[in-house]
Amino acid sequence: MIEAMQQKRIINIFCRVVDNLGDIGVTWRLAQQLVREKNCAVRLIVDDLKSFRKIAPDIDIDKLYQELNGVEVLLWDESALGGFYKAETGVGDVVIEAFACALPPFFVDLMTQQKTPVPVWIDLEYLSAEDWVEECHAIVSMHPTGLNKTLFFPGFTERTGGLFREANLLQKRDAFQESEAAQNEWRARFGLPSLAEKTLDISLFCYPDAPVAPLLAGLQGRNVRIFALKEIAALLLQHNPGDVEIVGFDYMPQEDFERLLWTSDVNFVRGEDSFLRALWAGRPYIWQIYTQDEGAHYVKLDAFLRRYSQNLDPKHAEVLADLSGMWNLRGTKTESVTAFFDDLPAFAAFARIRAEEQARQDDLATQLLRFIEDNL
Amino acid sequence: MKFAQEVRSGNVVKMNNNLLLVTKSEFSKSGRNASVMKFKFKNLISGSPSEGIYKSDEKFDDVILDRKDVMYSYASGDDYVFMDSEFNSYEVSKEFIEDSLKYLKEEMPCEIVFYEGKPLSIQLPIKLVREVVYTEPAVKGDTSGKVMKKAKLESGYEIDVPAFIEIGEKIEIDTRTDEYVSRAK
Repeated sequence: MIEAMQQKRIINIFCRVVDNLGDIGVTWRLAQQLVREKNCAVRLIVDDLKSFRKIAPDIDIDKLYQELNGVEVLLWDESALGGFYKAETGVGDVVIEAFACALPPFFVDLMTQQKTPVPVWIDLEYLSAEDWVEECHAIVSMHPTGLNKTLFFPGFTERTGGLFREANLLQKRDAFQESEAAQNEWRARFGLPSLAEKTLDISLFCYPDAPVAPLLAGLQGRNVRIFALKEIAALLLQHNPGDVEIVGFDYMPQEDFERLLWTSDVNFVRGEDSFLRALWAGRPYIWQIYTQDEGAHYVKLDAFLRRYSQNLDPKHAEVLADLSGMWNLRGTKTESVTAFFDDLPAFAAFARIRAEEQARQDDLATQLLRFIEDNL
Repeated sequence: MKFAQEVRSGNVVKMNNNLLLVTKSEFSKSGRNASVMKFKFKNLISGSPSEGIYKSDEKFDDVILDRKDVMYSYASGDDYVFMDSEFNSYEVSKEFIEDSLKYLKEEMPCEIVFYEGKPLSIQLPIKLVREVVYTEPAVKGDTSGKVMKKAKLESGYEIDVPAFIEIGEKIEIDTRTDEYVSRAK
């Protein structure tokens, strides 16, 4: 109710597509949620419309300005942006710099010139389960420009900014998972086979260096179908020793990728956006984390596994850690594939509980807007 | 100008006409090879404390203050006494050097930083060698350096080291990030 009474906030979200689809995946999700659920006017400024179109097929890659799903989408072209903002009365209320993408200098100048309101400047950070995030989240910090800037950290605990989760997401998921007809109808649209008894369906979204050979070897004789993007399916086919059925599909819109995770029995996901959506799917999942220098990603992987595996019995927690290690090229415990799939019902029950537990936390957009209102 | 990652305890930065002494700096690795700095400041004009979180590539105006090479001598209550080569002593309050105490050792060289002629803070060498006084036994066969464990230094401070490091070994540490660099030669 309080949110419905709030003034309509004008929010600019800047996004650079550095590699893959995580940056645009996260910002597009946030932009839509702020419009649909939080009564905000959102401008999404993005530098790569071709990548954007992979997850939002209605994007016109030739337009400097367009509107989609209530979000104003602007190409990050500095001369065009300069013209756009010159015609506007100001930069609005809030500027979100996704993953420290570095705002254009002219825009920072506009921000410093605007006195009413002084814009709230937020750097939306990467998701991490590490403890230090709690100490750094949402601390309003004096910035050399004279403005304040705040690093806003998504996270799994109360002292972080929470996780992206749209309203009624879990209810929509439940309705879809409870309806065989809805799942089969959706599968048919993307050329995926219908649900079948005693058949294990796995969705697989990975980086090219994922150790697919030991995974496929461990899946032999289990009546498995793997659904993967065509480019990943081609990689799988090179390593398939026999009876695993591999089904390729084209890039699909975000909301359909969500349904892929909901309809699969196990999800292999990568990066940040799909990793989080797999949590909400309530199905067992294995995460391939984005590789960083000096093995820094392993610290993050371990922090996540520690947090995720709380209340999971030690034997299963060890299997999950072993399989995650193998999948992230840290260990060679290929027997963990067998151990994981042998005990899949236990992992499935736990995944369901874990999603419900995590959903008790306020979602990121809600927390973000609360922060904005407190600081405007 | 200095990048946030280069700003250390003992540095003074200028923001919005405020002179801020960095009393504590912490480094954390964020996503995609980026990192985050957490600073505790003391305002040299108002005396008020504050803190700030920054991306490591944020640029700051650093203020060049007078410095002098000294050696740490002894502690006297909440004051720490440093001596130069001419046996002049300088006292620095604990509150300004809290972040450096974990590495402080008698007779270790460092720099004293002056503001308006008065000793204000110290600056540690970028790299230091310290002995590991306790750590869990080394993991045989793992020489990759990717698996880390905790190791306690003489001061009691704990640092992450590769699993192959053993008790009694000397290690090189980067004092800017509090990270293990290598085995000391």
